Amino acid sequence: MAELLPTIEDQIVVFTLDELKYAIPLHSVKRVIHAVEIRFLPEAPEIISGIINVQGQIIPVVNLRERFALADREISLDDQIIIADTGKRQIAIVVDSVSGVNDLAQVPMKEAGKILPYAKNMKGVAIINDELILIYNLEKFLSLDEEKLLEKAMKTKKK
Amino acid sequence: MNKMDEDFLKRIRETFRIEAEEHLRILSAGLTELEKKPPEKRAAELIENMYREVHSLKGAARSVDQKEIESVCHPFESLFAALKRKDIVLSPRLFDILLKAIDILTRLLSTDGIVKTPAERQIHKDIINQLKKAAEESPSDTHGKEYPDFSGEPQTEEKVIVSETEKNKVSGVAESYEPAMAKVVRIPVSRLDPLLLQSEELLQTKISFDQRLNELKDVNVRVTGFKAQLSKYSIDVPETAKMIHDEYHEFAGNCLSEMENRLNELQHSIEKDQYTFNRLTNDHLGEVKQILMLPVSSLVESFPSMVRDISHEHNKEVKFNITGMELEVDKRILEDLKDPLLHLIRNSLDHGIGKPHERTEQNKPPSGTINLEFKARGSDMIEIVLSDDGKGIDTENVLKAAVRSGVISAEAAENLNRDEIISLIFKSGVSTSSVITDISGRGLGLSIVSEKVEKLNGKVSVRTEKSKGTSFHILLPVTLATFRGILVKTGEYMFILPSVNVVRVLRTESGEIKTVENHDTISFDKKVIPMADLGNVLGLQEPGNKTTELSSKSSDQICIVVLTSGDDVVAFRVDDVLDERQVLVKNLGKLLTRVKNISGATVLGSGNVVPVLYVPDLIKSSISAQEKVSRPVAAGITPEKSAKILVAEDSVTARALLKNILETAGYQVSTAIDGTDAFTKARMEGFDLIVSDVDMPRMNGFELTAKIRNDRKLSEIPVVLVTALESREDRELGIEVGADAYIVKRSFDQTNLLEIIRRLI
Amino acid sequence: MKKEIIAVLKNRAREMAREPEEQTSSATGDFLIFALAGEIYGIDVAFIREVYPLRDFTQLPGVPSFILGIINVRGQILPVVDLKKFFNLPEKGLGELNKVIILHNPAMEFGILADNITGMQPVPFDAIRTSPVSVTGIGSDYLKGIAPGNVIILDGEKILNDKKIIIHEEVT
Repeated sequence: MAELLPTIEDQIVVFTLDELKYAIPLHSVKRVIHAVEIRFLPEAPEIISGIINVQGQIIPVVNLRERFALADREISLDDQIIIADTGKRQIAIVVDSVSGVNDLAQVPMKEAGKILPYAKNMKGVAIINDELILIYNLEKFLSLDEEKLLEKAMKTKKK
Repeated sequence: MNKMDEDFLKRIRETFRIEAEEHLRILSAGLTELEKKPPEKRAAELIENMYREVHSLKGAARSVDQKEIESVCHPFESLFAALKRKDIVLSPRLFDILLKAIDILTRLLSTDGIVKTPAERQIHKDIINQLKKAAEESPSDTHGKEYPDFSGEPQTEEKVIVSETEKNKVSGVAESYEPAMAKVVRIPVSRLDPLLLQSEELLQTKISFDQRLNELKDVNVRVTGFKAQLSKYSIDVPETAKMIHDEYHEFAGNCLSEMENRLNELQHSIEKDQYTFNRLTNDHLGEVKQILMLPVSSLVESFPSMVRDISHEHNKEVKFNITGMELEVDKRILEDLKDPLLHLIRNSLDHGIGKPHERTEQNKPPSGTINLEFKARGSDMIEIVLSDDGKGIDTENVLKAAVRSGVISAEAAENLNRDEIISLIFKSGVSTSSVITDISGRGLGLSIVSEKVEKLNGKVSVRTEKSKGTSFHILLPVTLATFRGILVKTGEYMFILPSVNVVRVLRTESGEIKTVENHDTISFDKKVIPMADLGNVLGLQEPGNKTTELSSKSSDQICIVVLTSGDDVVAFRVDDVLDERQVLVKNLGKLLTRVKNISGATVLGSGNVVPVLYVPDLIKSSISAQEKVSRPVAAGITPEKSAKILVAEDSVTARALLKNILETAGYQVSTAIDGTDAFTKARMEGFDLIVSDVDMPRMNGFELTAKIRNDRKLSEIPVVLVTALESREDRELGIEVGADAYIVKRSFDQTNLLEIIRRLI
Repeated sequence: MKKEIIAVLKNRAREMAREPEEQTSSATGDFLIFALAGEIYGIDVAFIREVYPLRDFTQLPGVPSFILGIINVRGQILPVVDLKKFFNLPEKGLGELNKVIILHNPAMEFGILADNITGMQPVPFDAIRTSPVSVTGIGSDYLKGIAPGNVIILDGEKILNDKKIIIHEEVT
């Protein structure tokens, strides 16, 4: 039975930001929650919009709008927050909405390396229902500098 | 031997080798495990398994004429049979013999069964003797005699010694043997299914490709037509405008010519593509189908033990032979064949073969014979014959049973000939068995057999002679292929009708419909045949609405499809017949095991899914639909459909389910949450029937039934108890308090409930 | 930003920050969370083959109303069950967001209709409390219980093995 199921590596979670579709691998998604208040974190790199507390765990919120060069806007009640694991740490990302899980085995994906060699943090591009979906790798989402700054900021917070 | 036969033999030998390797692998693994003295249950399981393996190996060897292998397998099998019966017990010596036998079999396999030296031949003889001998020993003989102490049997010892020395000689040679390894990968069958689905999708694309190409050709023809029209087209224009007109005319003509050329080119290249695509798809599908062909042996391997068990249970002696196990048939057909074949075999065992003393009285050998033969008929058909030398079918009993169950009337029964009577056994409800046993006699079996075979596009027939025996003949295609069907429309719905069932499609005047005794009829081929509306029969619209709609739409032309199944011919009115096409029928999935009137579905080129109708059902349904229409008209009362039913049930789920089932069947349903509630509601509103659970708070179903029976106003209402309680006492209590029917939830199925309700109202 | 919105977000943040009552180290299952008739449901992904968008379906005549119809999933015909009809839940109409969750075990396979798919969520098995009363119309037979966040956890095995869902009708 197990081998008939699509492997989790092939599945992606698709979400929307300003009508555009993006996706991250399902295996890195821990959970999806409703929008909550985000506390600003001083000393953090610009890419970090703040932190949230999920059941006692402090998780930095990565500002995707900044990374994707989208107009910044305030969080709204309908937004959703994806809690994801980058391999190094858990991060939270605020999205307009999560539209579902897709199976890449059914939807062919173009490797990013071939078409967009400069997009280091991109895994690939897929077209689902005529919509272009950019698939990102969370592992390389933050630059080394950002990681360091974040590390430092989080430590200050803990103190 | 010609080349083709040689090739075939080579191929079949190769297949055999792969199969045999697998059997031997399981055998030696089993032996190793047995040596480790597993718990008794596991040991019995292993022995059973190995018995079957060696049996299959023997059968396979025989079918490819590998006599040497077969001759070793034979005593091997007997030995395991003895082990199974616990006539002998496992001893170290036995292991030794068995291992040696497997060794020899492996070696034989690698030499294609050819024995080279007399020494080898001697070894074979010895092992066969040892196996035979070992199988005959009784447990007491072997008990306490540990290997190598078997001095009590000098003969055997001697032979063993000979064979030991011989073995050494041979094993020197054995080094040079190539191990029997074949280039084969094992893939679970489940992995193959998506492959087939995909190639069937390709076929679907191919079919729509054909359709698109035809559309393109049509456009092309029309463009040519326009061009021709344009060239003939001329109007009188004043001289001043003539130049502009001519220029325009020429321009239009040029455009059309260019378009015509482009279209021609396009059509030409698409035709080429189509040709290539068709060839590729056909080849591909052919290959995939080949992959899905499994030998018949995979279907029947469990049959012999089943026959043995049942015949022992019934104190009958039966010889069961299977031939043609190496024939290959599409896996899905094999799967669908299993139940019908098992049923027929059970029938033979139950009704056909008599007890030994009965048989002896009839001058037959005490043990009966059942033969199951698989024979190739041409390249794409297979014939299955199941014959027994039993009592034969008693036509008088069949006739009686058919009349009793109402399949035919007593008058109609008078005029049937022998063949017609025998064919009655395939009708639902006819069982000649006076006692319903657990193996057959429910009167449904043979109708299911014929239905399954029909669905596989096959035919089943029976030949029987009293006290000589019975044989069932099933003729089937070996692959599931596309068939032709016509696409019809009724209301918003589209359906496929298999062309084999279509006698004719015709358009006629609505005035041709004559009403005879409240039944619509139409003359066809100088005969008057019943006519029904397809939408009504399928329950898509309320009877009655149609006529008004129809009269307003078109009073003159109606579209009729004349369908046939068996001897029945019925005309069905449809809104439109769209076209005839190739369709690939697919089943509806495991959830919808049987849907009335529908045998499957197909996917159109557009991606739309269209149900394929099952004509035998449709004809039956048309008869009951006719009755539904005609009855209220005749009696002038509201139809029975609106009968009101009260459901008393404390579980929300069960309540919702019952409500749903009953409403779907067309009843008006009210619900009550327990007996007290039900009783109050029943007194307040009039109900035609009450369906009640037994186990409920406040007032249970028995109390409710008793109370209803004692109430002057309610005492006549039928009560159906539906319950989880299953004991005989409960059932009796239910009947005692006055319930009209008692359905146990475990065996609950909706048709059962609906049928009971229909009988009671 | 409006005060009310900030208040709601703060409130949610406080709720989210609350640590689980008991730190369970037990086995956790992944659940697909979906909406149906205004309630949130979860089902163990072990029973899910895939989620398929409902674009088109074909109705079948003469089947109970809880069988929405059949769909074509890459060449395979699959029936779709409308649990709202099966359990008598309030009707919310077919929206554009309809998805089919294809449930499957070795013996059975069919789709169930969902109003919307919310996503995946890990739920520790012992965080699923059996509910005292069935919150919705769904009988306790088909429920595993209620998970934190008022997610009604369906019993995939029971639903797949339920003989009542199987349609087997003969014409008599």
